[in-house]
Amino acid sequence: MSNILMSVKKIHKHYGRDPERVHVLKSIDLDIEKGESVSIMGQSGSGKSTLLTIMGGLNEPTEGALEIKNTNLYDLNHEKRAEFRQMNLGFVFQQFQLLSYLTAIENVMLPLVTLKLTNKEKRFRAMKVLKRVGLEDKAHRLPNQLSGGEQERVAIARAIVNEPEIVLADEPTGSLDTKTGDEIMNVFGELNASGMTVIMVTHNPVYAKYFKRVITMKDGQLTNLGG
Amino acid sequence: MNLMQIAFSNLIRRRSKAMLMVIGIMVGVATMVSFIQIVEAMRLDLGDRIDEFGANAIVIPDKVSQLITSDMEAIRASEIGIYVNIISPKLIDVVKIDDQDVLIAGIEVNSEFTQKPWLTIGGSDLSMIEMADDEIIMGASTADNFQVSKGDTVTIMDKNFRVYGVLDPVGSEEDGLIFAPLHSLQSLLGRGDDISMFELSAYCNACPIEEVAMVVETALPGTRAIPLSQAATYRDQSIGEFELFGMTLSLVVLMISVLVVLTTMLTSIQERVNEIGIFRAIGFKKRHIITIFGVEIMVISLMGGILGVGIGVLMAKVLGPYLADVQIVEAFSLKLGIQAIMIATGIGLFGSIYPVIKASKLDPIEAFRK
Repeated sequence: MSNILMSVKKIHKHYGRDPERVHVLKSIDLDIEKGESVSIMGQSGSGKSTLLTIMGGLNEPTEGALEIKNTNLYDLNHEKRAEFRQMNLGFVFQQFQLLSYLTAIENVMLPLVTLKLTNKEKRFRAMKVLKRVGLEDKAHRLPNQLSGGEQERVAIARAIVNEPEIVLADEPTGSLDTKTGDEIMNVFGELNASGMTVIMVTHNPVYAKYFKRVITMKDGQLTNLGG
Repeated sequence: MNLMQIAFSNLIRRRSKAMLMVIGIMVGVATMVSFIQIVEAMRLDLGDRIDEFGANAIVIPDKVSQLITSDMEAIRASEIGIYVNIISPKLIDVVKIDDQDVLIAGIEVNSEFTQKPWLTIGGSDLSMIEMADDEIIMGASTADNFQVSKGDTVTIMDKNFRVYGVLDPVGSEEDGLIFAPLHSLQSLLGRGDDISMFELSAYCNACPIEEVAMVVETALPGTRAIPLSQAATYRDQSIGEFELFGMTLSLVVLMISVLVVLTTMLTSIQERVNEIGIFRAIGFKKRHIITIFGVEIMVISLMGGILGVGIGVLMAKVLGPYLADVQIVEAFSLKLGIQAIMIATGIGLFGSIYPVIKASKLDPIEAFRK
């Protein structure tokens, strides 16, 4: 029985019009199984971040389809797709992307805000994941009162608070030193060990060792499917 | 943690921007409130001035009745008495001078010339003059016809009258009249207390002239009170034009306030593109984004409205006498407060509707573009 969780089918993405048209992704085919930990590597401009945003249902491809849990995401309208993201996907953005006016726990609670949960439940779930990333004692600090590594942990906690099956991370270690980067990679490893599918984009080959599958990209095409 | 809390947290964080919008709305509301109050006071004042300028109704007896001097008191004592400014009684008859028929009007000098300030002698106001019983004022045509001037003597029904002065020509029936003190003409003609008509100047802001006329007819049985449609039309037209002017100016102020909110909101949303991208990426729907911005703009509008009405009332009280020579009697009222909040909300909504819809349509991919 197939264990495929996400299927990228003949995805093509281009920007602009001829003759300035830029082909960012060229006929990408990729299957990701449940529980995999996948790293997508490539030079800057290879199209890896664009692929990640398409895999996250955030960026409509020019051609092709994306199926997650047998749902073609780009057949859904914007609102249904937002709902699907909320229930199934967690995002870790570049440079943390925490809201500076909210405390760590409030940032973590954000994906729960629109769900029909009591404030107590939301707070309980947020605190639970903050504990999981080792930040329960800094829950009420604002982002500017946390170190880079701590902010990254808050961003990861926010990504997993709604217990998604897939966590997508875009260069999460880009602004961290090597030691902190390694710590964050271990957190992703723990998430994967608990059953989450983790897909991370990075240009740094040092982090490849943390992933069971390493996919490489060049000029908008997959050069190695890994696995 | 809910959408309201996100909105409030944002307001606190971006308080300088929020204050800028509060000030924008406050200025708009304050200007409109003060303008509404000043225009309303000016409208009332203009109405009163028009009402004081000439008569707006005449009271005449029917075929079988006779008006007398004391009927004035009955009008003053009636329920519309407080709206009546001037009652000018007149006894009109025809007398012979040098075998020619001439119209003569017995008048109460002060009320007659206060009501008709356009009647002057050598450009001078006549409302405060004192005339002796044997003095008359000649209309311009009559004086010309009989070749008389100030100080001359004119004989009417064997009694000599000294000409107090000759009215400046006005191009109306007054040019062909002779004016004599009322009681002196009543005695000359042997008419006792008889009056031919009353000319009324009533304040019509609070009580329309048609209503005044109806009450006068009830108070004085056997009379007809006729509203002068020309005066009413002139009054309505003048006030209408003034209100149109006021409304146009108010709309200009309103547009400026809406533009202030619009540009500030557009700038604010431009600065928050990344944040909105995060919201969208983690599953917020369009309505959630609209709710956050909606709460923010409602709080800003309420603050702008409350501050605006306070400052507007104060501005009207302070500036009214200087700008428009009017006193603002009515201070704050619930109606005014509700109007101000509605204006503020209107400014906030109109100014933010486009930016908020634009924000709600932002692509979640913006979260990846930092």
